[in-house]
Amino acid sequence: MTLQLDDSELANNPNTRLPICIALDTSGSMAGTKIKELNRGVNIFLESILKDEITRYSADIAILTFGGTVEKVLDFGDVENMKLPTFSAGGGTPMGEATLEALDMLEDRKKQYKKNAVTYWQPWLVLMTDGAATDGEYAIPDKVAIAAEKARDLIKNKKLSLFSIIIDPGTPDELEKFSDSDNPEQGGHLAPLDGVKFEEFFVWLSQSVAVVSESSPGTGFTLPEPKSWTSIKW
Amino acid sequence: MNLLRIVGASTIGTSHIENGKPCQDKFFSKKIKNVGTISLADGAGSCSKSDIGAEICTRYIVNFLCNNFDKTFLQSDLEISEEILKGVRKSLQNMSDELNAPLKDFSSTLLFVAVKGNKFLAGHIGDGLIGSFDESGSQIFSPPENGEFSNQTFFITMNDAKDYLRIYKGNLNSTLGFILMSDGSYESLFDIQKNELTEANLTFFSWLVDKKNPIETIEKSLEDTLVNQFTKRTSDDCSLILLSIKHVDGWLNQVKEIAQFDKIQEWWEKIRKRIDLS
Repeated sequence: MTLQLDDSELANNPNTRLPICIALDTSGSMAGTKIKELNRGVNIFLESILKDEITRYSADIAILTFGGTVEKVLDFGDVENMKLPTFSAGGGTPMGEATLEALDMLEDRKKQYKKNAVTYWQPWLVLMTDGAATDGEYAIPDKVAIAAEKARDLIKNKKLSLFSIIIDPGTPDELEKFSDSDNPEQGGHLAPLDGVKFEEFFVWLSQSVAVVSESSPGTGFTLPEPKSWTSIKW
Repeated sequence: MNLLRIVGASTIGTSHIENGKPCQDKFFSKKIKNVGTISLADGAGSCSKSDIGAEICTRYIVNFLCNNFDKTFLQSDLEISEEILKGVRKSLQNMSDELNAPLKDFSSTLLFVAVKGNKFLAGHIGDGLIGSFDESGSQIFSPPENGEFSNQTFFITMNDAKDYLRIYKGNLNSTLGFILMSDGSYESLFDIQKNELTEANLTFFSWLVDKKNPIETIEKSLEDTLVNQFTKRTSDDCSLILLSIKHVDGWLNQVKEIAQFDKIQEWWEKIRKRIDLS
């Protein structure tokens, strides 16, 4: 004989969330194969996240584009209900502004989690760009410098994981400002994308999200090797 | 005099199975010299020998409090905390030396409750939760303590563990029992948004106080519940241990209760088995 417990007597607490903001360069220089592959890669990523029973309820994704202006194309919590528009390339590269907006969105999302007693992992910011920012060191104010300082500070305090992806030809010097080069393992990752391996990158990203979502709080996690899309190790 | 019943169960989490890790939740209990003590520890997932650490912690604290309840109860919270940490660390250090592994590898949380007469002494470091029961239902006795993120908590091996080991002591009064749960079980037994323990806590407690339920039956039922229901809500290890306290006055009542509880039942089971065999 065993005693039975009705399932309704147990809690249905929200999953621990992993907030991810993806900021994508859709400036004029991304025209052609790059924007086509970027569109394909992002869609594969979202399909993969939604297909997995665990990441579906833990990954909390927002997407920004910066091509001329900064556009919020997907807000947190909308991934299941909203169809993503096809990105087109055009305009300048306001990367500083996009990064600042992404950091604000992540901060606001954390506040919402706290208000609703939802536990969360350290937020992720994915930044992908192929060229020099048009609101960087030659602009007033230098929004890249402001955003980089804010990001570095968050990374240092373990409140952000940053993945800066350089799309060919790219400007590594500019993205390096976002990471603490003395402590590369602290959460500021920088890597060049091999060719147009957007699909490979986004497959890796969804696998990485799954690793975190499936890990237990306190157990730590190791992200998969990024060798499918970049020639460098981190 | 108190009549105490204790039952516990644990199960390995799916993430631990996939990663080839052992169950890092451990629990232990003992009833001796009118003292009943229960303990539970959750080994740190990132530490390779935390299951061993959790086992050592749970055993140490139970044996320590069963043998030193009265003396410890008279000390200040700070003295109790320091003495417990000193003892636990010594036991962990011995194992650390034996296995030639750093002390940090044995990191775990720790939750415990000891009762004697009308007194209780409890402690808690890290996540997991201690709940208590009385006539009005179940309450949060000691909540989890985490860092800002869900993957941060506090362990008994930390240098500043003294700042995080919460000590509680006092009179039981109307308290009828306690439950210790790991953070895996917490996902099922605690409603985060309502900030309250779920109905299941009282159901488990009612199983324990019902003398008609043999401990083995409750144990098996808890294990089944953890495996079939709790693991759907978390990929982490799940464990829990319950203690029920029945205050009995007068020697005749005590004899009656003891007889009903254990002795007669055990004796009857033996007789029945013999009859069956013959």
